[in-house]
Amino acid sequence: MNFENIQYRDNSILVGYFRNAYTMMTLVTRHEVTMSKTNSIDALLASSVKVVNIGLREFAADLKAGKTSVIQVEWSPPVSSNPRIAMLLAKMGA
Amino acid sequence: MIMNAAFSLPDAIAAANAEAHRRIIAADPVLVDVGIARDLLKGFPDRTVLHAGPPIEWSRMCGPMKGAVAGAIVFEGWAKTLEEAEAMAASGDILFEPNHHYDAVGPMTGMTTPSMPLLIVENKAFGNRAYCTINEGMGNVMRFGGNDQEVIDRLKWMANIAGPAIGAAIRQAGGIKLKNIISRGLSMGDEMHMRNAACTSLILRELAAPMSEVVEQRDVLTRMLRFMSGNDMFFLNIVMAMSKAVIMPAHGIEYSTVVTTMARNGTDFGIRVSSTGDEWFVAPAEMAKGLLFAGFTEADGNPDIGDSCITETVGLGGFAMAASPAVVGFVGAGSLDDAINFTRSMGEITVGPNPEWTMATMQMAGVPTGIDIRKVLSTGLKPVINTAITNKRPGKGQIGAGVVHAPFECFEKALLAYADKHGVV
Repeated sequence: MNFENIQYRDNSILVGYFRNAYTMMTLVTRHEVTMSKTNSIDALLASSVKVVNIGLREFAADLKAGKTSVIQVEWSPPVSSNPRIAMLLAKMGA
Repeated sequence: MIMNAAFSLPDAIAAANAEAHRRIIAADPVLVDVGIARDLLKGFPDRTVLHAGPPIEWSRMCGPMKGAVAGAIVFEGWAKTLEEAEAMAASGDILFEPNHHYDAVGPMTGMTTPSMPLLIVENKAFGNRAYCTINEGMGNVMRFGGNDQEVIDRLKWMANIAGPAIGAAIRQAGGIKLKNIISRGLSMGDEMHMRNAACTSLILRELAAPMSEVVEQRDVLTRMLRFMSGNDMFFLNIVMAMSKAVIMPAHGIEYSTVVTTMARNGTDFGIRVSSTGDEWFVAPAEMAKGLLFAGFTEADGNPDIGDSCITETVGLGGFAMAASPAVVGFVGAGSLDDAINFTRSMGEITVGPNPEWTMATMQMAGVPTGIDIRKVLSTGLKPVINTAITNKRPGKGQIGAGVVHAPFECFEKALLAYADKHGVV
C-alpha cells in the first residue's frame, strides 16, 4: 500500500489493520504531523473526526456505532512477497 | 484463454470449482477387491518402484525412503542383498515414479512394486479406480523404511496369503461401500488420517464373517483377524485409496483452482491442481510439530513424508480435526477448541462443506472440502495435515505424531503456472 497516493482531507484519520499479523498500522495523517507539532489532541477531537478504515471491517462498525463518520476500504496486505501473486489473485477473484 | 469481453475469469473459476466440489460430494467409493500391482496399474514398467510424493531421484531421497527402496528391490528379487539393491538403485537400473502417476497412493515411504497386493477402491459414480497397498502394521515396517528379513517375510505373507484373503472376503461381501463408514467414523471420533480406530473396527465388522466363509484354514483365519484387528491404522490405506478415488474426477476441470493432489516424499512436498494438468508444484517438505515418543528429540525426525495427505484433499485428516477430540492430544495440537479452530480455518481455504460427512462438535457442519489455491494465497492459511513423524534412520519406525503444513511456495508456483496456462497477465 502506498500512502502517498491517498488524498487526505482535514480531520481525516487513516487507520489500517494487518489481517494476518493482527498489528495496528501507524496512523499516518496530516493531523499526526499537526499533533506532533502542537502536542495536543484536543484540537482534533474538538472537531468532527472523519475516519478512513483500511482492512478489518469491525473497526469501521465500531466507529459507525459511535456515530463517527467512517469510510471503509477493503484491503488486506498481500500474503506473498511476490507482487505478481497479489495482482493475479485480484484478477482471479480472490 | 480469455475469449471475449463478456468473459469473467472469477466467474469461470467459481463455476469450475463448484463443479469440482460437486464431483467430490457426488462420489460413491466402494472397496471392491485386492489385486496385484503389475496386473492393476496401467503401463507399470518392469523394475519400477513407485514411491510417495512428487518425483525424486535416488540421490535426493531421505534415509527412510532409501531404506524402503532397498528393501522393496530385495522383496522383488531384483537383488539378493540390501547392499546390492542400493547399488542397483544408484546405478539407474531402477525406475522411480510417484504412486500418483498410476492412480495409486502409499503411506509414508509409499513403496509400491509389481508383486505387491493393492486394495482397489472404485468410485461407482464416475467409474474410476484408485489403489493402495495394505497396511503392514506398526513398528519395523517398510513404510517407515524397514527392510530386514522380518519386513520382507511379512510382505511376502501379505502378497501370498493376506492380500488374496482380504480380496476374497471383499468379493464375498459384494464390495464395501465406504462413504457411510467414513460418516460413522467421524461421529465415532476418527479424522481418518492419524486416528482410524473406529473405522478399522467398522471395516472389520464388514469383513469378519465373509472372511470366515472364504478362508478355510483356521490358523490362517486367526492370523488374518489378528492382523486386521491388532492394528488401529488398518483402515488408513483403505481411506487413502478411497480419497484418491474421490478426488480423481475433480482433476482436469478447466479453470478450476482446486488442489487435487498433495503428497510428500520426505524431501519435497508437491501439489497438483485441477486445471494445470499433471505438473507438480514442489517445495521443501517441512518438519511436523507435535508430540514425540519418550526418548526421541526433534533431531531424530525426518521431514514430512507420505501420500496420506490425500485424505486432507477430501476434507478429512487435519481438516476434520474437530471430529476427533482424541487425536488432538496425540498430535500435540492442544484442546478440542484448538481442533475446532483448525477445522474452521480450513473452511476459509476450501470451496465448501461436505454435507454427508458431518462433525457433531461443530453443530453437524460438513468437513471443509476442496482446497482452493487462491484462498490459501489470499488468506495465508496453509492446509493443515495430521501426520505420523518417522525416524530419519531407516526402519526405526514412528517416533511421534504431529501437525504439519503444506508449504506456501507450492501454491505460489501453482498460481503462476495457472496464470501462464490461462493467459492471465
